[in-house]
Amino acid sequence: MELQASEIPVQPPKIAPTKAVFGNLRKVFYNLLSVAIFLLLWKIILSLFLVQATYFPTPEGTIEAAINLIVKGDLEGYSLITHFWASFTKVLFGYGVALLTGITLGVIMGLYPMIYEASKIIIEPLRFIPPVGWVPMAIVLLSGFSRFAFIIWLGAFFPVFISVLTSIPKVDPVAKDVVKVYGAKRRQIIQKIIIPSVMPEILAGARISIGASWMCIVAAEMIAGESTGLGRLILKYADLMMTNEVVAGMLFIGIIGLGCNEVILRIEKHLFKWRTRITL
Amino acid sequence: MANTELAGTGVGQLNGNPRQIVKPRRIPRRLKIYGYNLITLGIFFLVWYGIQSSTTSSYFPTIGGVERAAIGLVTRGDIQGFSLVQHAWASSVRVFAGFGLALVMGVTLGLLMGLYPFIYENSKVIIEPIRFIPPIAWIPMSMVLLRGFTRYVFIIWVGAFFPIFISVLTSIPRVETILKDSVKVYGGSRWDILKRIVIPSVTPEILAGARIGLGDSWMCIVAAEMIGGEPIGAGRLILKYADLLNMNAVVVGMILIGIIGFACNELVLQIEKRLFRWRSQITL
Repeated sequence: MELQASEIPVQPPKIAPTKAVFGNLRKVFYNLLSVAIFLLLWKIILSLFLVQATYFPTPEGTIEAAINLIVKGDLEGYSLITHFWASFTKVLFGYGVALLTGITLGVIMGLYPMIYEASKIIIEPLRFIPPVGWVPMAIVLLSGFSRFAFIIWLGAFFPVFISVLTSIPKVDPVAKDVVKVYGAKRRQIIQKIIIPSVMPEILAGARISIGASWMCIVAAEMIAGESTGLGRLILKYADLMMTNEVVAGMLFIGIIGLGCNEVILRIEKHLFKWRTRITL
Repeated sequence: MANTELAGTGVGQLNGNPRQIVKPRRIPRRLKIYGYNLITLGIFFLVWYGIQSSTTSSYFPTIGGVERAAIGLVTRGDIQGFSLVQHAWASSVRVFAGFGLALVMGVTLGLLMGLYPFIYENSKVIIEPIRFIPPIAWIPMSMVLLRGFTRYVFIIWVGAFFPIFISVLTSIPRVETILKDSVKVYGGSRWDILKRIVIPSVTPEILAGARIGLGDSWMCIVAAEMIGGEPIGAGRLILKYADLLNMNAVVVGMILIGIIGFACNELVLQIEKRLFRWRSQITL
C-alpha cells in the first residue's frame, strides 16, 4: 500500500513550453492589434476634423518627427540626449535629497509622533501647496540648477515622508512585543523590527515620488527657462505650432517616466517577494 | 474583583498597579498639542524673521508684507480688480468639471478592465506610455488644439483619470475569493457577485484613488493656469504677482491654494472615514 502511494507520480503543474511561448506571442499579437486600432482611430479622428486639422498631429508626422529629433536634434541643435540628460540630472539630484530628508524625517516623526502632532500646523498647509505653485517664487529667489532641484525636492519629499510616517504605526505590535519579551532595547526594536517592516512602504513612496518629480521637472522647465530639458523641448515646438514634434517629445517623456517606474518596481518585486500586493 | 475582571479582558495583566491606568492626566493631551503647535508656529515665524532680516535680497517675502498683501487682496482684490473669491471659484469650477469626468470614466474603465483583465493586458502597450506622460506635458498640445474652458478640463481630466483608474484596476483582483465563492455556492449569478461583493469591496479603493486624483488635479490646474493664460484663476494670480516681483502677494496666493487643496482632501477623507469605519487604515 505504502509503495503504491509513493508511486503515484507527483507531477508539478506542467505548462508546456510551447504553450507558454504561444501565450506570450498571443499577448504580443493582441498588443500590436491594439496599437493598430489606436492608429486607426487617430486617422479617423483626423479625417473627421479635416477642416481644422492643420495643427492636429498625424501618426506619420509624429514618427518622422521622432526620427528627426533622434538623428538631427532640435531646432537649436541640441540633441535629444542633451535634453534628456539636462532633465535627468536635475531630477536625480532633487530626488536623492528628497529621499534622504523624507526618510529621515519620516522615521523620526513616526517614532516620536508628538513631534509631528506639534508641528502639524506648519506641515499640513505646506503639504497642500502644489510644487508648481512654488515655481514663480523659485524663479525670483533662486537661479539655475538650484531652482529646479528645489522644485523637485518639494514634489518628491512629501510622498516619501507621508508614506514613511503613516507606515510606522502600522508595524505589527506582536512582532515588537516578541522582541521586547526577549529583552530587546528600544534601539534593537527599531533596528530589527521597525526598519525592516517599513522598507516596502519606503520603496512604494519612492516610486510615487519619482513620478511626481518627473512631473514637476517638466512643469518647472516650461515656466522657468533654460534652453535644454525635455519640458522646454515640448514648449519650444508648441510655440512654433509643430504639434508632431510635441507629441514625439511627450512620448519620450512618457517612456522615461515608465522606465524609472519600472526600475523601482523591479527592485520592489525582487526585495519583497513575500508581499503579494499587486502594484502597477 | 476588579483584578479578575481586568484579567479576563487581558488589559491589566502586564501592569502591576491598576491604579496607574485610572490616574487622570493633569493637562489633556489635546490642549497640550494645541500648545505645542502654537510654539512651533512661533518658532516658524521667528526663523522667518531671522532670514528676512539677514537676507540681502529685496524680493524676499516679509511677514508684515505678506499680512498687508493678504488684507489688500481680500478687501480690494488683485491689480486687475478680480477678487480672491473669483479666482478661487474659477479654479474650483474647472477642477470639479475635469475631476467629475475623470471619476466617472476612471471608475467605469477601471471596473471594466479589472473584470476582464485581458482587455488591459492587450492594450498595455498603448495605456502604459500614455500613463507616464505627466499631465503638464499635455499643456502645450492643449494650448494649440483646445481653447478656453475645455483646455483646463482636459488637463485636469488627464491628471485625475489615471490615479482613479489604476486604483480601481488593481483593487479588483484583491477582492476576497472566499466571498465570491460563497455567493457562487448559494447559486448567485455573475451579476450578483459583481453587485454584492466586488463593488462594495472596491469602493474604499475608489475613494482613496479619488482623493489622490483630486490632489493631482489641483496641482494640474495651477500649472495649466500659469502656462495657458486666462486672466483669472488661483495659479494665474500667483504668476501675475511674480511677474511684478511682488513676492508678498505670491505667498498669499500660495497659501490660498494650499488651503483649498487641504479642504478638498479633508472633505474626501471625512467621507471615507464615515463610510468605511470598519477600515482601520491610517491615512493622511
